[in-house]
Amino acid sequence: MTPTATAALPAPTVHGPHRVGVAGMWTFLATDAMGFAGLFIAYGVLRVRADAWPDPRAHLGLGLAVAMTFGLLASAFTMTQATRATAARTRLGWLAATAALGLAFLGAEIAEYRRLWTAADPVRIGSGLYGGTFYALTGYHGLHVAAGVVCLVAVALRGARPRTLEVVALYWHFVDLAWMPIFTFLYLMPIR
Amino acid sequence: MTAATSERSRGARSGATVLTFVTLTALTIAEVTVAGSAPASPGRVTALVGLLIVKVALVLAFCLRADFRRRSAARLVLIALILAAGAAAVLMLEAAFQARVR
Repeated sequence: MTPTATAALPAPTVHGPHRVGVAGMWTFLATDAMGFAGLFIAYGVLRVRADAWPDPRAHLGLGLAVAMTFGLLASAFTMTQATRATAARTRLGWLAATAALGLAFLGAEIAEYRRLWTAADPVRIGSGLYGGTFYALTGYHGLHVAAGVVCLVAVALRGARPRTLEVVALYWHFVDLAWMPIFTFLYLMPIR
Repeated sequence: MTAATSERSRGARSGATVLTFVTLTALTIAEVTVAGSAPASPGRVTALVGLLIVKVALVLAFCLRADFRRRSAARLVLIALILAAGAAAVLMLEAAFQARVR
């Protein structure tokens, strides 16, 4: 290629690492959403096809689930505040609050599992489709929350730079979003 | 942008954030109330799904900032809606089939 021809070419667009991080996270979230969608579709089909399905209120603790939902909503709020904070110290404070709420959610989930496991009429992974689908959906989501808390701690330890925080915030809001249908379908949706 | 304009913009964003989370909390309370309503209520499942859709839309718009001015975001939402509608149609057909078999 002659120097004249090279000069005629448009300059390539160079995206900064921040935009690449956001695009990468959106791509990951899209694939992850398919994982959740697969589990939800499996749950829906199994529930519709089942001859009998237990009443959620007979086994699950609605009060605890409501508290977990409010905890996640509050964590989404603290995450938003962390991304908007201009001072590093404030950012770290909001991040710590988000991680604490995430840990509280996980603690509540473990308490719920323990209660279900040891109840008089226990709900376990092996106790039919109901138990299997319940633990698959909530466990998959719980793993996401645990991974999110690890990410939050890692970001905080590295100084909570605003651009990195924006990428982690996308993930955290997605985890919050994924809980909403779990709460509605597993805890609230009445039996047929 | 002047410092005053920037401050006003930040205040407006904070207000919108608080309003979003108050709305999400109110919708969750509404969901629990609807779920606890009389068992004979036929529109309960529809109401629960409707409230869920509003909550998801709020999180998408205000937390994940799926800005509809971006063409890619609009496409993403369109694909999600088509997939959701497809899944719902499959579930309804399955339920109709089961009802006919029984």
